[in-house]
Amino acid sequence: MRYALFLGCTIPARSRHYEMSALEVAKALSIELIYLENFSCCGFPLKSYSAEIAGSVAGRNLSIAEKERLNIVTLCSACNSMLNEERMRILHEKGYLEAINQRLGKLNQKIERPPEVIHFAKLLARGELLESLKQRVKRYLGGLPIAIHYGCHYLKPSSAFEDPEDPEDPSSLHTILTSIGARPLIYKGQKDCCGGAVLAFDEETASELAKAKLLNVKEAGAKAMVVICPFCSVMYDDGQKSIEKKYELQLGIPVLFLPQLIGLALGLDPKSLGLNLNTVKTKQLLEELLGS
Amino acid sequence: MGSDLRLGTLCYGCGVCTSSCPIARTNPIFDPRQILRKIIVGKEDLYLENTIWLCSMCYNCQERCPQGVPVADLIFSLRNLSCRSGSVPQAINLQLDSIRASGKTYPLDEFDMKKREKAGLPRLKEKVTDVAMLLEENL
Repeated sequence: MRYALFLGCTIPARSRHYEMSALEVAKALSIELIYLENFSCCGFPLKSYSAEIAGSVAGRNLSIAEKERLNIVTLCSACNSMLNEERMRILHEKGYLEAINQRLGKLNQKIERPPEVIHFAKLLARGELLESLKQRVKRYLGGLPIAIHYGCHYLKPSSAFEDPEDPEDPSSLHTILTSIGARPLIYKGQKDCCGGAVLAFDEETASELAKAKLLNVKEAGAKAMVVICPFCSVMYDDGQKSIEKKYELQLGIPVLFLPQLIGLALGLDPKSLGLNLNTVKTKQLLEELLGS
Repeated sequence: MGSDLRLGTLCYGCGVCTSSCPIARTNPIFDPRQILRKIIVGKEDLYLENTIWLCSMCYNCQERCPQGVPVADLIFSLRNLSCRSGSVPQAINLQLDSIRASGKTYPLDEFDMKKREKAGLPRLKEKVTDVAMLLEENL
């Protein structure tokens, strides 16, 4: 199983622990992730500026993977929705393939049939990989209570995906967590957005959203929160300390990327999963899990 | 993405968009139903209103609209109109500059590369420059 790994911009600069743990989990499950050096920004940040230009930038990335005959795996949810949306447009909008190829022609690039694009979490929830994951669990998590945060662009807009998950009742991350022995909690506001997308325009609202979520997670009794997008991690992990300070709260909720928790269940070394790089310390959680 | 604003006229005002909106709940200045109302009555300078930049792009409104109005995509269209008229928010300009120069919103410097190396991660190309050509199109 081989895929082009689409990192986007935020992960290689700010969420190296996400990248590290994804690589480790992929290796353990014999998924080959290939770096293509010419991938750029996915195009998502340009959507507000110009839908056409955002589409061109996404199309350029699709053409790079197509040339290597590789389908794409994303780790960032914004990249996931942008590249899938562009793919659907190419496949289904009349005249769009010609239009995009005209623009990509300036770069001597071309799309014939866009590659498939799948989020790493979604890939792991597929039948055969899920089975293989279950068989490789070495460290049972003993019903560890976890607050899952699906976030927005893993699921929405559902029109971006060929095989969308119901955004009102998503289940793929629950399935994965249950398979590795964790216990996904049902908590108030679990479908709410992290607020990351308005951080640059209205910091106050963004931190209100993140605070509300973290309080709900705390109240539900979660030992950790699991996220699958670097922006959600910026809001909940990197931003947690300033939220505690601003609202005079004590939260102390570890925020893990999904592959970090999976890696623990697979018995991998916490350091190789970058668990020392999370902003909210994971030490206590690790002690409980590893009994050291 | 980037939908025709006329689709807004399908709205019959039920307000599911606003009641599903995490931003409206926190900051009532932002009200998607009101934005749709203004689209319907043809408010000409709607795209210049600051509130269109408060959407978090979570797509709840779009998923739930019983009339199939692509609410979030219409807000993207309004933002595109704003940029086309020359009113580009600073946050967007910074990202444009970065993508133009390096192909990425977070360019990687030598410091980042060292941290990547330490984490056992492969070195990445610092700049992908041909992307800039795609940004030169007329809006």
